[in-house]
Amino acid sequence: MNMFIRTCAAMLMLSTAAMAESVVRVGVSQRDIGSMDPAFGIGNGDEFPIRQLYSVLVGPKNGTSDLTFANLQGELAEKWEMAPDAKSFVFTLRKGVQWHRGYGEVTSDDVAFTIQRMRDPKTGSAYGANFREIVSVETPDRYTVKIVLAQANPFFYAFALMPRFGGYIQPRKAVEELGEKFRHNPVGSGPFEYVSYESKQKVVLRAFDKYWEGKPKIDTLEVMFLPETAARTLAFVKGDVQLIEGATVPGWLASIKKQKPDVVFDLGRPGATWGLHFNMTRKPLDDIRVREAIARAIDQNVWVSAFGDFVTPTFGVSPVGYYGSLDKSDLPADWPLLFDPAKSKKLLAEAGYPNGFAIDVFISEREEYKTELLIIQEQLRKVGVQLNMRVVDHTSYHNDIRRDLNTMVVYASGQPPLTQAVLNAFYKSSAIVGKPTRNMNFSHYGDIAGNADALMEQAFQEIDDTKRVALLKKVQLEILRQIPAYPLPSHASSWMHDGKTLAFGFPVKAYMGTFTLAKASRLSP
Amino acid sequence: MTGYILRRLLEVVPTILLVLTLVFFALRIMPGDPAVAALGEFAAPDAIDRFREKLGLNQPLYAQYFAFLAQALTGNFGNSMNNGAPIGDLLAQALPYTIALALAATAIGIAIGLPLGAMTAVHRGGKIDAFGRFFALIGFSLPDFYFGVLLLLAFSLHLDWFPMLGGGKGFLDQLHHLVLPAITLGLVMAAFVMRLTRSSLLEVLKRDYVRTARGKGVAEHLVIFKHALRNALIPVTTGMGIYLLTTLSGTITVELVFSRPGLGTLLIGGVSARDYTLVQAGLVVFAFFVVVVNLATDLLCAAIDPRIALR
Amino acid sequence: MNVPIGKLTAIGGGLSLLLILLAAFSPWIAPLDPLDQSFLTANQGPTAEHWFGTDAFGRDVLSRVLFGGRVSLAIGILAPLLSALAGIWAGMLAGYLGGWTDRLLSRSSDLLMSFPTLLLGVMIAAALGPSFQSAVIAIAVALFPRFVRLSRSATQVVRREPFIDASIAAGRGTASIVLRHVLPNIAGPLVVALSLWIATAIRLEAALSFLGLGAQPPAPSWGNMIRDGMSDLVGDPWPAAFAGAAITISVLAFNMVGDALRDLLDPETGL
Repeated sequence: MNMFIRTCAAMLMLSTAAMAESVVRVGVSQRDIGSMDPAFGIGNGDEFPIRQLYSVLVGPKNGTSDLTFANLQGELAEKWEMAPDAKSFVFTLRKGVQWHRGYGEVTSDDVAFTIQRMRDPKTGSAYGANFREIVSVETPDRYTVKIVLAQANPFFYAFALMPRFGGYIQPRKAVEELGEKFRHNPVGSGPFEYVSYESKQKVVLRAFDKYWEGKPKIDTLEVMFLPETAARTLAFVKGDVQLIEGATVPGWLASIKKQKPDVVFDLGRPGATWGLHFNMTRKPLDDIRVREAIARAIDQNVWVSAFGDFVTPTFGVSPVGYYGSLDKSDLPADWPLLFDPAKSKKLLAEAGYPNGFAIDVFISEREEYKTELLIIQEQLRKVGVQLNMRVVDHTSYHNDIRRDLNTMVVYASGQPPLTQAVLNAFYKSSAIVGKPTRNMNFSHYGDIAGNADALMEQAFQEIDDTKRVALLKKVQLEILRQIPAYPLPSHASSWMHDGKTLAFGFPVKAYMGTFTLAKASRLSP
Repeated sequence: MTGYILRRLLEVVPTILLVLTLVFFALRIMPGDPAVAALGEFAAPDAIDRFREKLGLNQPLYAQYFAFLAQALTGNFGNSMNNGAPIGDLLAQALPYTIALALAATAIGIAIGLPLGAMTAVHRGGKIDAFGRFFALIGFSLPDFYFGVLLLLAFSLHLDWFPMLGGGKGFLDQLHHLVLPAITLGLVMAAFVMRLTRSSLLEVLKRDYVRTARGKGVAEHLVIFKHALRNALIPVTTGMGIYLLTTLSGTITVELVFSRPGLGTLLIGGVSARDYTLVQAGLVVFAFFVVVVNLATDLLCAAIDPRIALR
Repeated sequence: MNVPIGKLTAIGGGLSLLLILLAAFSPWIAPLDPLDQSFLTANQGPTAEHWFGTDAFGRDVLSRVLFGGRVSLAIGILAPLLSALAGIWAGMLAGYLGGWTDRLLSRSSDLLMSFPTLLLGVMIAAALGPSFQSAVIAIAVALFPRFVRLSRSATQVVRREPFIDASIAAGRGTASIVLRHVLPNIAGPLVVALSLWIATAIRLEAALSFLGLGAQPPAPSWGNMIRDGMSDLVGDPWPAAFAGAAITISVLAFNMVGDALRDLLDPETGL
């Protein structure tokens, strides 16, 4: 009898275990949540939960980075149109989409509110600038939104309305009710809703049963903050977390593969834009021969041998795969950025440095930055250029490079995959460090060695696709000929999941912060 | 006695005020800006200005200082500059994990170190002494966080006896999470206590009054336990007080290795994000610990040896 | 003095000397350039060519351990010596004079101790930039109050001994008494402490580097070798393991030296 009861109890436990809710744990490298308010969220650790909590009007197709207007995938919008002059956009909203926690239906008023909130300088959103070119937002009815721009911008949506960069639609009622509390008590319309937050540990989300595409298969999503690569890796190998953010360490991917054969790498391509920007106000970098000598001493294949699949050589200002990027075939034969150490030494001699020279460079303590400069340093050493490397902490680094204090700036930037974004950020004369605008033009290009502002504007506003791409390539060739920067290989955003326990429902070739886990499922306990 | 404790507690106030002042200015001397750290690379200068304005960072330094002091004296540390969470909540979540770890490590340290130290001193030159000294050497020589990693690899990854991440929920689970980090720090502590006990006991054993007691024919175990050990405990207690503070500091790396959400990880993150409010509050709490530990040490010494005047 | 120095201590002394020599002469001893990268031969365990294997950049781990010793040992020895010089004097004065001197010195050392060592390191590194000097300063400042407290409490014990009163009665000056009677009597525990704190300092250097705040690349230190190795701990544990072993061995060695010195100063309690 006793035996029987025990068996029954055991069976009962088994069946409840089978019915137990499916939990997916995600390890991000951030120390803690910054903000779950889309106006402020930055970095992978914020972007991942924000993507699950909120919806955008339109986004790239699940798992891709394709930003072509016709190929987009509707979320809140079921129809989207661009005016032929690229000065206005009309979105028709899906009916019946619900906000979390009973905040009602998503309407055109919420969209107008979101845009107003994002562009309002009082909000102080980090992404405010992306919305400033909007002249008006009209909401003729509950489900229609018309956005009018000051001037033509065929890719406006890619900056302001996409996942990341502040494109998530927010509920007017909840934002107004919750005020400051909104950032840690978010209300969205995405597949997962907010449950709880434990400082330094995790944010817990659960499936939203009224999600417009149907309730997600994963019941609970725990976003865990695991800043130490060792801890994150070990937890993944052990199976405590099913999805993690990778590390930028040579050979790391291969090593994970060995320990966990079921791992699936979710390499997001195109990856971030990496560049080595030369401060052309500093000697000897003011001499184009010196800049060319440095460029010619760097071999991008070294990165490929260090990181394998994870990196792709870059030829223009933006990584291959960005809209309008340069490919190897676009380069002329005398292109000054091609690896040629003999030429490098010759140029150094011509510039008056037959034995090379030494230059002080500071770099962020972050692993990925340090690694990058270490690889460059070692290559330059071979032509006699000695980089004296000083490491500073990451916050100081960002502060000091924007104060024009560095000689060469290694910079990684996650942009929408558009060459326009990269040009705007790094090569416009208004973006030169020290000027009261964007502060990422570290080379001073525009004031020194040429100016491509007009050509850039022409390219940005060009409505014809073929002409636009041609113009973008022309601008890049013109700028890079002066070598204000050396484009470094692009690193794919590296995440990985356990293929045995987690499936996304579609192949992943994009950054993890661009799609939701609405279709993902937990495969085994 | 009560007067002494009161006076010492009153001394806490200037100490903490000084800590506050030091931290306040030290943080602001550092290069880097909480606004840039919080808003990220895309933030336009106007967003950064807005952020600074909201947090009062555009005020003159002295105004910020007095506003901060006034707030701090009422025990209100405001919100984290980096993520807006109330500092009180952040500390309340983090502190128990750190205190539990430090206390558990100390308990392990005393439980192993004190008897081992006494035994090695009494049997000096013997096998126990050799074993004890070897133990102390090893305990003292392993870098603690690396030792923690080895424990993590062996007992969590491979054997799966202990959890790998976080601090746990509920008493038993938290205890389960505490074991490996506590052993990591506790063994180092044990090595320290053992060495200190041994050396101060040996020191005491050669003193005149011990010789006198022996000369008078007092039984050896009485000599050791009544006369020697009691005196030897004074440097041990002081040393442990000091070491407890080192241990509190050691919790930082161990917390990182075991992903425990304690005070250390909170503060390290705070410094790198230039989260002034968080670091200020965290260090005040830490300073308070230090004062309490020091006071407790002095009181304990006085209790062991009443001849130590409590001035 | 006729002191039997045990085998253990002889080994310790020899080992410490050997480590210091290896570190000092590493440019001549190391088989390869510790900075030479080669991604084709990265992450190899020990081989005939690379006795300690190679790291993620394909750099020779043996050469890096040897060169790393220069940084780690220099920080580990320099920092405690600096802070001992200052701290012991302050502590003796506090313990001997008592009263306001004591209160002032004790409270200010309390104040310094209110900063967790590593956090102090973090703040110093954030202010000055993480570097060799920052690590030395952080560790020296962190250890200073500990020397103060220890020498203060040891001095208090000695202060009560009758021979001190006798010296005072004999009209000796404070400086002379502290130097001739107090220092020799508290030297034992202080030397033991110094030996322990050199050990602590070497480990602190490792901990600071683990947080990314110690000496900076490309120059290797044992601490930053562990840090770098940590990111691929299961795949290629060798660089971290060898650096960890180097730390462990040198700390062991310095502990043994401490014991030897202690026995020399204090023959009666020695082995």
